[in-house]
Amino acid sequence: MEFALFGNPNTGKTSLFNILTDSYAYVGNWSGVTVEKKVGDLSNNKGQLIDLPGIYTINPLSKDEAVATEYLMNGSFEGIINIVDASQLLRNLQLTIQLLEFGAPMIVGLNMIDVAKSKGIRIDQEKLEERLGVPIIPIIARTGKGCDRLLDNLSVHQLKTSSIKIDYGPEIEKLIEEIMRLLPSYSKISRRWLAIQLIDANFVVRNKLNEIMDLSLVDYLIKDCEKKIQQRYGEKSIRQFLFKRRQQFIQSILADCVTKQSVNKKSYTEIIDAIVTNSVFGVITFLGLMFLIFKLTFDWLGSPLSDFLDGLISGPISGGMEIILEALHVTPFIQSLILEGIIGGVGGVLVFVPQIFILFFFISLLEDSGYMSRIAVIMDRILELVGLNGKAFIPLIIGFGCNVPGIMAARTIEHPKERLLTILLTPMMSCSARLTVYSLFVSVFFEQHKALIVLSLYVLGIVVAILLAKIFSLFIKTEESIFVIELPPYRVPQVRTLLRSTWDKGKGFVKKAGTFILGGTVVIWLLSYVGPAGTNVEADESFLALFSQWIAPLFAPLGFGTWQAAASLFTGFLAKEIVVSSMNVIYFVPDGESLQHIVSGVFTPLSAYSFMVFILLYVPCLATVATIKKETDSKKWMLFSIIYGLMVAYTISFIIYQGGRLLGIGQ
Amino acid sequence: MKLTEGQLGETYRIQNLSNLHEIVQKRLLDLGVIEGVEISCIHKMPFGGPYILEVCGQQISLRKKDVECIEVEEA
Repeated sequence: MEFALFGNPNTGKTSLFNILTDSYAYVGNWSGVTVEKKVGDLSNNKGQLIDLPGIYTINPLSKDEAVATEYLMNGSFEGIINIVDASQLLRNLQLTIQLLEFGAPMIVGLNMIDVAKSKGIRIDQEKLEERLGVPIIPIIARTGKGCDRLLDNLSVHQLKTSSIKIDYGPEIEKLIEEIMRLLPSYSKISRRWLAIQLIDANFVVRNKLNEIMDLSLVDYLIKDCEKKIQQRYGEKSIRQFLFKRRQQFIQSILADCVTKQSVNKKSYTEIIDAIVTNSVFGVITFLGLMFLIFKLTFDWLGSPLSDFLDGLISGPISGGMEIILEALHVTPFIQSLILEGIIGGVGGVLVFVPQIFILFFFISLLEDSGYMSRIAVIMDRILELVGLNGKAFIPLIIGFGCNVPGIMAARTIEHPKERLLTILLTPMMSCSARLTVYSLFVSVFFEQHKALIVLSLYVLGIVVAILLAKIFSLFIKTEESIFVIELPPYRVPQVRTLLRSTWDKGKGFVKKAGTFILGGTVVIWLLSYVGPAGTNVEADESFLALFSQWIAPLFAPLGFGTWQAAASLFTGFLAKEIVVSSMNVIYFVPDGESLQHIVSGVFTPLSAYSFMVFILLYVPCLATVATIKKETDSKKWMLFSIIYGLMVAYTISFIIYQGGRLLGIGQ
Repeated sequence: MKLTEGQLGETYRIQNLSNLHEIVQKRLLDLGVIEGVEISCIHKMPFGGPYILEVCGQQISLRKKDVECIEVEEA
């Protein structure tokens, strides 16, 4: 059985989803669009729960929101869970009413009753239940209080279909009836609901009906009625009129069920915001926090953990495996495959798992605490100058973890042109996969200034993105851009939610290591193991070397014109981590030596930096390219992202290497 | 008067929103922000950056040029 979770943004939908479900059954894509479709198994094994994007109303503005409307119309769910913020009932019930009008069996989770209480709001739950006509369960999703009861009530015979019917006034009611007569009678969706949504100018509903019928008469009727409404009630639009009618209805319910005492206490959100969104300290706090996160990820926490893991893999695990293989008398070919190919290659990437998880943990923390939307406000002025929107900063920050969800997060941007720009720029954000390359090189060449050098690469990515935004926006003309963002109250993140979203983001990396990177490494290893002369050839005479020698001279002006560097860059297109595992394989790291040692002989600090810059900016990885294609729905933009990346990377690395040589730095 | 001409922290009543971009108007409607509702500016970002407004018991942020389009009167 399938249930759908609807609710306003920032009402604790994700917390509730995490509590009601044990695990994600799967995370897939909605058909046709790439918004993540999260499906979880209910923890009482009674069915599955679908997590939908947060919406204020069934009538969407952005593509992200349209997904929820489309699911409501086309999905195969048996019931709806509507999560409602008890401290914001007037606004939240607008959506509830529209869902009730839709007529599916429903249950309401009245969330944040603790917050409502602290604001002096008391809700008579039984009366509210009576008025809405569906069961209402008070919950605190963050702590899980009441969620068991919600789960117990989640079976089809307990969910109720409400008989609620709002009177929209004589003009609109007449219009609804006229439209209902025009609508096809076989529709499984309530015709009254369809009519109301058409009047509300819901484009998803309109497009769907437009496929099966001619809407010109409907449009005419609505236009005509709008004029009457404007004349008679002095209302600006029919949409506002509908909204007010619903609001009157909600107010009459609330007058019955809710009492409010004014509480004169400064909330901690106000206190934090006094600093965090202060015109001076806001930016300083933001930069300070970013620096702290980098320090923790790369220096204080991440490095020791990575070193420990590295010691484990190159020491006991690799050694133990060698003994086992010797004892089993395995052929040298297989031995080499396992030790150099698999353990060397994949192990070299797994070493960075701690750093990646720490980074994802902090990104989740920023998301869950409510600080992320403040970042959008703080950064909006700067981004506006380059034709972007403060909201673009959120995809960009998520892009630091992984470009793929970053590009998907751009869906929250209402404006299509700004969204396209954001999608094209997100690959400039240094994702955690690229971190593996930096970690390798900084530990060799920049031991003293690890965090600083890595931070400089991240900043370079941002600066390049901003400059490119300015250039692109000259060609991709943005019309007037839109910036409206809700700032939710701060919340102390729940450990459970944090750990789960960290794991959800990070597990892709581990999975990739086991599949993609493993496969890629084995191929590389094979290409470096065989050559025209047969198997087990000297690395220089392998097919890989022969092939890469063709491209290598191209990179000479950038300081790394070796066939090894060319080969690893080439394979890095599959996934950037493969650069490191390729190097492990290609350089044929002998026993007792580390890749670090070898690299220090081949690169200089300058060429190493130039190489890192190239890795930062060149072609996005395969998964990112595929996402760009899906999200922009255009091969042209996909190719564009590959080509401009290469050009920018080549130019900047060239400037850095040649400039550095002229100045005599880092040779 | 324009909301930008008011004092930070003071509460005003919205008189007219129709000069705003249509999408902004629609999103504000979703948030319950319509004519007649009380509104106050609580922070503003430097260098002509966005404003943080408190309205209908929630905080929202709008750009300065949009806040300028909100006509208000003393509450």
